[in-house]
Amino acid sequence: MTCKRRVAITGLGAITSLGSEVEDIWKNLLTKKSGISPITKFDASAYSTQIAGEIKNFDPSCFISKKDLYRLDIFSQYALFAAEKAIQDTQFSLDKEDLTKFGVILGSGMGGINEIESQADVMKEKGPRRVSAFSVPRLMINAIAAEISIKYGFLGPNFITASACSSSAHAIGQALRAIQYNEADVVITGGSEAVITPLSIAGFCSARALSQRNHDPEKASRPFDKNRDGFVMGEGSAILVLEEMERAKARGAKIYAEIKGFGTTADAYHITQPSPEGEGAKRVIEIALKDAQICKEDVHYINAHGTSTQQNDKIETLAIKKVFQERAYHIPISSTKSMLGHLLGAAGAVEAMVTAMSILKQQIHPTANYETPDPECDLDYVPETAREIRLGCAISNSFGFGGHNVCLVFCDPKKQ
Amino acid sequence: MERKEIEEKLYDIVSEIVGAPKDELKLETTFVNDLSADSLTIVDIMTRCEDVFQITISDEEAENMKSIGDAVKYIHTRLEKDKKK
Repeated sequence: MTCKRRVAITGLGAITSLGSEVEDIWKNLLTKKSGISPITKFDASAYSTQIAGEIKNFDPSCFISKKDLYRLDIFSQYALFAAEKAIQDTQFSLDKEDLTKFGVILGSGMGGINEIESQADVMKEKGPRRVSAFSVPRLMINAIAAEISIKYGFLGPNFITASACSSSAHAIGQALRAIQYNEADVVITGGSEAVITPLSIAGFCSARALSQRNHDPEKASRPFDKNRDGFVMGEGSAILVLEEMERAKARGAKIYAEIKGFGTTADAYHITQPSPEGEGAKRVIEIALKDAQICKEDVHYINAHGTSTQQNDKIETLAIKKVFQERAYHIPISSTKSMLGHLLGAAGAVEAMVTAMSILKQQIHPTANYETPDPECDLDYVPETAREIRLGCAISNSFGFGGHNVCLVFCDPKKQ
Repeated sequence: MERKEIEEKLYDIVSEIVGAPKDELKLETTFVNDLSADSLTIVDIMTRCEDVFQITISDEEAENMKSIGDAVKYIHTRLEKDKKK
């Protein structure tokens, strides 16, 4: 058996409701700034939920030509924007690289839902002949991986993972494997999502998944708090560049963190509910730690899935307790969704980015809006302020509708 | 519809779809050679013309329109014919 190669994170890029620079997003998270506000993308007055983490004033024209903008759904525009930032961050000289060893593996939950909705309207109003020739290439979920490979000439592994809210965590896991087992030296990974649309918000409202705290948007996403009433939709993209460790070191690259382990399981229980005993979540953390060859005692931080739904936060807490036992009470846990909302298929990528930043900075962001303790959520959710901690190893959890579970393990390469 | 009006509308459509500034477009501008339009782009321009001018353009007719001027001429003749009906 060949030995697994080590993998470094050497580039980050993102676009979210809290900014379009990774450093800005990070600072906003440390200071508990909220990206949640009333929906402006469409008239939401008839909706039970009227708030979301919208990206305002997005201007991709510096990176994407007008011609390309016309033929790209907004979820692809977000991905191309974040990818350009992440690739710039690596300081690669792409003209000197062997691009057959560069892959693109991304995740999205719903792909080009904006395009699906608008072309469905065109068809209903004007008939099938008026549907745009670009509708299919705009809406297909794999557009983001394809567009990035075409733009930069990346010739290696290229595909999409779709597992709802764990999509981009799966993508990062597959990117890790592609480098570990020598299918690629560099993989552009992460995810993108743009689902603040009339139809998808209506669907999530009908499923009773969203918070209805319309009068107080910034307090609506309150993971692990007793008075949580559902998640808040977010949108955006986060892209991570994974690179084979020795190569990254040899070129003197900035290394944010090492990505060391990946686990993936299914609940095999219900299409939206997590299994009540948290077994799928428990197993996935254990599998990921074993994959990383990390002892439970060495985990210093958990970036939770923490959606602010009754079920998720309770079951995730239970799973963490089952894995870490008494130590669970001493591991700080935070939820990025408390400020950005839930980016669905891009959530795992944003949270992987945040976990990598936590390792680089040896600092963790708080969970916003944790005010009233819930007896079933009684761990340390970092409710007050950001903390400086000794952070050798961290995990990030992602759980998707359908019962998909992913856990990723990140380490400080200097402490390995 | 006046020929000049058709021309203006064509510039709007083409400018939006290929992302070229309107003032760079002329009647002689060709879709493939000057604007590097691929087959999807040309189909999309024709679909938009069908919508804006309320006509039907067959694939064969579209095939013969190499420039913006060709399209203006075709649409103008077509609208004149429809008027006489």
